Amino acid sequence: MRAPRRSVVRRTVAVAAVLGTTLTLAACNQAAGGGAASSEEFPSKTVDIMVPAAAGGGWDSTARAMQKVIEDEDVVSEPVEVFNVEGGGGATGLSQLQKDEGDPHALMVTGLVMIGALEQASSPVSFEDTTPIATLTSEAEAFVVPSDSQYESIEDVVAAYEKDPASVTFGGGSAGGSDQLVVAELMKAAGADPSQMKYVGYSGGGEAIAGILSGDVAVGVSGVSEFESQIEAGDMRLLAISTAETQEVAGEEATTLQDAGYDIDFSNWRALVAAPGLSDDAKEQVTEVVDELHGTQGWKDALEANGWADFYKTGDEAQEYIDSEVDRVAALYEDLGL
Amino acid sequence: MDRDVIVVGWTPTPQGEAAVEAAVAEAGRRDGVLHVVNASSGDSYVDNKIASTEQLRALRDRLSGQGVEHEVVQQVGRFEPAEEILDAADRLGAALVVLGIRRRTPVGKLLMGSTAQRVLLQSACPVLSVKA
Amino acid sequence: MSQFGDLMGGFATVLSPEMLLFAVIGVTLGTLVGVLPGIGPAVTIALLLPVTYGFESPIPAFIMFAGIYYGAMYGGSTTSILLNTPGESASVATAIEGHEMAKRGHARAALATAAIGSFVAALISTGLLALVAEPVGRLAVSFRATDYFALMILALVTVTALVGSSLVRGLISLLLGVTIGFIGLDGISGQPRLTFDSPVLFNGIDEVLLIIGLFAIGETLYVLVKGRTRPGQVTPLEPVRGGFMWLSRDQWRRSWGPWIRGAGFGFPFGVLPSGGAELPTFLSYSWEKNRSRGKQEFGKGAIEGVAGPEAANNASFSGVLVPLLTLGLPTSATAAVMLAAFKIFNLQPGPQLFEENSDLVWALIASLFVGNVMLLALNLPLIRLWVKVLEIPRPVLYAGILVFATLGIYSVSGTVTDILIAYGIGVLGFLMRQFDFPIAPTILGAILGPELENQFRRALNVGNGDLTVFVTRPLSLAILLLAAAALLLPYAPRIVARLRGKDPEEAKKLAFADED
Repeated sequence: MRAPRRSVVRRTVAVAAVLGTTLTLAACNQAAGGGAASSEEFPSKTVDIMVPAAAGGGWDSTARAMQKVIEDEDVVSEPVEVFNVEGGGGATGLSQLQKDEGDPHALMVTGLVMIGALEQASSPVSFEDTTPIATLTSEAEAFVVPSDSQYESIEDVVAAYEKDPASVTFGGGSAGGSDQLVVAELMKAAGADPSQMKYVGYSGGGEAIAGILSGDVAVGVSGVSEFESQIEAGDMRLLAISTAETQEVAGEEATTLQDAGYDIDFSNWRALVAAPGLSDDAKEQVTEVVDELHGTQGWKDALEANGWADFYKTGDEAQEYIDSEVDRVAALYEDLGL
Repeated sequence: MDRDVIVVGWTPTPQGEAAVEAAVAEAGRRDGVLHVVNASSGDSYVDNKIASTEQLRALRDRLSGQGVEHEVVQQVGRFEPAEEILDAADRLGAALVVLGIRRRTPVGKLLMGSTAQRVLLQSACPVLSVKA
Repeated sequence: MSQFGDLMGGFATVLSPEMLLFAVIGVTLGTLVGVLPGIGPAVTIALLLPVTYGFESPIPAFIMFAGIYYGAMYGGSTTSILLNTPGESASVATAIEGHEMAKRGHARAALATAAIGSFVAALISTGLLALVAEPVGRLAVSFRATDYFALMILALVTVTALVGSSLVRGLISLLLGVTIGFIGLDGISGQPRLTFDSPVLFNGIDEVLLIIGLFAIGETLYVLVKGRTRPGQVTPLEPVRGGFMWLSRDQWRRSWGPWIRGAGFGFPFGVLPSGGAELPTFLSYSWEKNRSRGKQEFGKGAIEGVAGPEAANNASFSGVLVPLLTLGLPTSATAAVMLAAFKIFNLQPGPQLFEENSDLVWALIASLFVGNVMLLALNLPLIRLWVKVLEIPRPVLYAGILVFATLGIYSVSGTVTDILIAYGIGVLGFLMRQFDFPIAPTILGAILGPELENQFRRALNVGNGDLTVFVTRPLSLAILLLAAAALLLPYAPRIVARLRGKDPEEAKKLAFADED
């Protein structure tokens, strides 16, 4: 049995370097870059997209989908490389991004989950230390139960929680992540005390599903796509999704939390940020590239294939959204007593 | 009675066999005594140039059978084989050193060095090198 | 026997020259990166993921991935055996006896039994995957936190053979591993522990760092310090007499049992969502050490100690595919990356996959067979080449190991900090060798400790803090009782004798393990 999956996969670019001996070349590139690029054309060299987490996760798929579309549709002339820096729920990657201050070629995928992780780790670096470019995708959170569960609707779950918080075990991704936050938000909206919540965190989607099917967890919470095939197979029942807008899950229109009378619009969004200290000009140029990427058919196909909703905001709109999310997560952490 | 001492660098390989064969012939010619050295620096985990006890015994038996006066010495983990051979030749005041050699690629020689070359260049007495 | 027909259909898809070429590429690449410390199969597969974007069908990708996985696992065993530098936790058990064999001139046999054992185990486990995937997958997800906890307790008491000759030293080494394993953010509450407020340690000490540090760097330092003060430890390579595929008749006879038992350990642990490849290798090692015919040879290079763990390690991969294919559950890093690959081709592994894309599933299973045949075909001849590594003089050899270890760490983490941490652990590994502490229990502790704690707390959390949850669920109770039996049985005759008022010394102990 392994320890919670740590960093098996970290910096794939560097591995490529070892295998392909481009190490020195890459190092030279990096040294020549930093800071000087602000007035030049973007991109003037390889664009690095950092994934501050392991390969195989949501951020990783996002970055790799971007890479694929940019290269397939020739959005930029320079190559795009994706590499993983795992650690501290993204804090390690974010710290590393600081080294490339002012360089528009150093991009990073991030999202809601990182806000919580930074909060939790009392990280010295924060979202302020990035230049937000655009929010890209969002994914609704799904509340599911095993098909033989006594809970028929999300109201049943809330009612049981109100009667005895210890009688309902929630389970999903690691503690303090978006999965636990959405439960906290639900209880808050229902007028119950979120700090009483019994939540079991799992290190990966697979383990969480196993926990729900085995009966350790009464109500599972995670991204819709994690549960889709289980719902389709009839092993799990979908109670509600967390976004205001409904979507089709396993061939049926899903109930939203708002349908059930809880005023919640929660989604696990992902965004692209650049290194801090970008000039307005550089920021605009990067945004233009992302704009073009967003407009391609390839990107639409990628969204479809991964079950992501299009959630595109740029410029001040993106900045404001991220700021408001940071505040919201901080408040939820307070409520959870974390 | 000062009989010639012939030092042989021996390994359980075709080269080693060739060296012993030539040395035996030489010993017969000048009524010499054989001093067979099997050595390894002991730097690597595995060294195929080291003879097992059976191989050493077989060699002794063979030399006895041929009626050659001999001494077979195995030295592991002290010096490089070349130094061992030179050391033995020096100590015993050898009249001749016999080595078995083989064709080697330049790269192989560069990487692993050549025992024969060192002995040839540094030996105080004549060296007979036999190609396997 | 419709499954047989399906499988034959799978082979029909896979056995084309083009596909075989992909298998060859995969195995070759896998073996190469497996030999480098730190770069495991998951990283390699992730790295090659973009290559598969260009393929029309996922089948060549899977064939390549299967080849990479098997190749990487085998490459890892190669360095374990030859140099005592395992690259990942699943080859730690192999290193213990494998390196002793190499030092005694039996490197060829050790490499051969590892390769053939991997092959045999993969055949058995892939066969099981083809036949019983569906029901076994269902059964595996019914395991609850309490059952996992009980299972890990059972594992802990049965892998005592790892502890070595001194119980105290073994336990200290184990606890050291557990302590190292606790560093980082706590998996349940997210609180930092033993991090000394340094964000660098929030993610814990990477398993790979620990292994490279303790083995590759620790061993290098030890050889450096001991150097020439040690009497020359050198042997000629033993010739294989009257053997077949590098193994003598006797070695064949001693290997096949451990291969099959190893597969028996590996497959079920692979299937369990919190299983993994390490525990079955350690269990197999312990079993062979205590039970096999060659047990008196353990510590001096017993072939059973290589054959068993290697088989277990490979069999667990087919096991991991069971929850991945039948339920869409990725339970290892490699499986997670493979899941990502499925998604690229718009496939959702899960209950429907077998019905909707059965051609593909059977082609995947067939490609596992093909990957294994390729592994054997490529690696058996390579043994001749690999053993040459042992002829390199130690100073050059260990300088090389140090370079590759450092590169390996840098390539997975990309930070100098991790290199420093690994060297720090290396010093620890040196000290442990110097003072005769076994290394393997530290690895076991670092892996098992946090997982044991996680499952324990998860179970208590679910059960509202009631400790009886562990004994009220029949499955958990049964496993715990088994663990108690495994712990107490060796002492039973003594206890019975004492109860009868006899001299305990007279009663012969039922030997489960060679105690010190």
